[in-house]
Amino acid sequence: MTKRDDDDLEARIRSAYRERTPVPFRDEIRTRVLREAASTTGASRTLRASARQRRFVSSAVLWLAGVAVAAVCLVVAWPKTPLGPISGTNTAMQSARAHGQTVVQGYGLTYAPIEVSDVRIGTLPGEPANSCVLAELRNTSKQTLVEPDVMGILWFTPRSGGGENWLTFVNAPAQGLKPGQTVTWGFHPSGPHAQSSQALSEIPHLRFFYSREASAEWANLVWKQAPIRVEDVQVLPVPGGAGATWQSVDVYATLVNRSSRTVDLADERAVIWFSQGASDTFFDPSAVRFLFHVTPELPGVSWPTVLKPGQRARVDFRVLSTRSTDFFSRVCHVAVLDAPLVPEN
Amino acid sequence: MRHARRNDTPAEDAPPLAEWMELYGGDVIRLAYSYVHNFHKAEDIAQDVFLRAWQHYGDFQGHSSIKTWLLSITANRARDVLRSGAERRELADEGEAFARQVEPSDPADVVADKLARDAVWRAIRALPETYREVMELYYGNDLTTHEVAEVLGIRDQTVRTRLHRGRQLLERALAEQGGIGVDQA
Repeated sequence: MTKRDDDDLEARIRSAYRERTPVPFRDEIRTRVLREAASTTGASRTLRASARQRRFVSSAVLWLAGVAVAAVCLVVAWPKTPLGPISGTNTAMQSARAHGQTVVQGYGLTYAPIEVSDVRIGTLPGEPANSCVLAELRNTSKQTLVEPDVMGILWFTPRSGGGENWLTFVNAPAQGLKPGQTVTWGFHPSGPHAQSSQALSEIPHLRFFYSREASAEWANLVWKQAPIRVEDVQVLPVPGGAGATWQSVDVYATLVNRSSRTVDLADERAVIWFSQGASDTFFDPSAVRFLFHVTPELPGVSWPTVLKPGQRARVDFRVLSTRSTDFFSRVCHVAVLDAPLVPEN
Repeated sequence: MRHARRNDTPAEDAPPLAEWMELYGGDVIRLAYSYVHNFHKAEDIAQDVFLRAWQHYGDFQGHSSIKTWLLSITANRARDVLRSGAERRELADEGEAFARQVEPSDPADVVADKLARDAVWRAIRALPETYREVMELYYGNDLTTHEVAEVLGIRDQTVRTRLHRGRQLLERALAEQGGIGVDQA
């Protein structure tokens, strides 16, 4: 065989392989694998995930809060103007900057085209039994939805009835959702909502929204500004509050009741976000965001449950994220909003 | 306390199973198919491969790429299936199931292209498994001979030898198919 023959044969072989059509990896197979993996808890405990698991079970270490170096934060505050309805033609977040203050009336959210079904308590590999929420997500649109496009809210209601009693931001599937695609989604909530065993017992709910501001006319849900002014936001590291892969920081803020009525803080929610830009809202895909009830969670920490007109309260929220989260180079924002932040049906 | 932006990935330092399937699912199925010649069987093997990878991620030393590691599991699993004889109870798919159906505009070219493709695939499929698996990994997955050696657990030189021998067998087979093979210049 000549050199030319060699080259020709090589070209034919390469061409034959190159022209093969991509092999589909069907969603059914993907879903089946993820489901099987989720149900395989025993073997998976040997995975490296065990390191991360420790961060949650050793949360006692995190309670050893103390005073440390304060980080510079932007104070997000509201004037004493009464709340007004969001204009039908304006964006939901009405903001104006003057003398370093941000005026916020509310945020409009629109549902993402993700059908959520079979929301249930289950177990993800490497996590304690029944400590996770699983759900089936289906993209009902004709567009691929990528993770930054949407943000989810996971919340719980008591089995005995009643409204939301714990909530958190969650992400959409990291791999995105193709049109019509269904995936099994899972999340392990951390924090005091879980029992000591971390098993979940209440009813989970899940909804996804577009991760962008919506005008009032398009909003499915409006997060309304509370009559609470936020002052003196500080971010402090938590002594002992870091591991190989995680870290926690405390966010302190002073709340001031700027209305003429008593405000029950149990009816308020705090949105905390760390943004790269000073004017970025929590909608920004790069923001690291958290949701809290405005009631004390940390041992030894207390503040009034109600604020009379003009009354102030120093509050403290502990957030936890990956070690790589640059909390101290970001701008920390705290906004207090009226509950509920979740759809009521 | 809240954890930021936790998502569906089971654990950030646990194997990103969904990502693996997204990136390498097709490669795994294709390699499995090259052994068993049955698409459904190949899918079953792929499912098994990803679950095994998930369960044994702790054993992954990181000396090779994830893709190489997954393909290695696939080759082993497919051979197991072949050895078990399970695949023989099912009818193998005909031909190269994933050959792209790109039709040139000129009818003469259409015929020539299809014949040439079919001839090459007939010849590839007729290769003994020893050579076919090396060709599949080297040409089909764009692996280096070193990576092919890692996948199959053999020496780099053995891969080179098998590639050379495989090409010789292909050359001969195509020539025997009546001039559809290499040009006889």
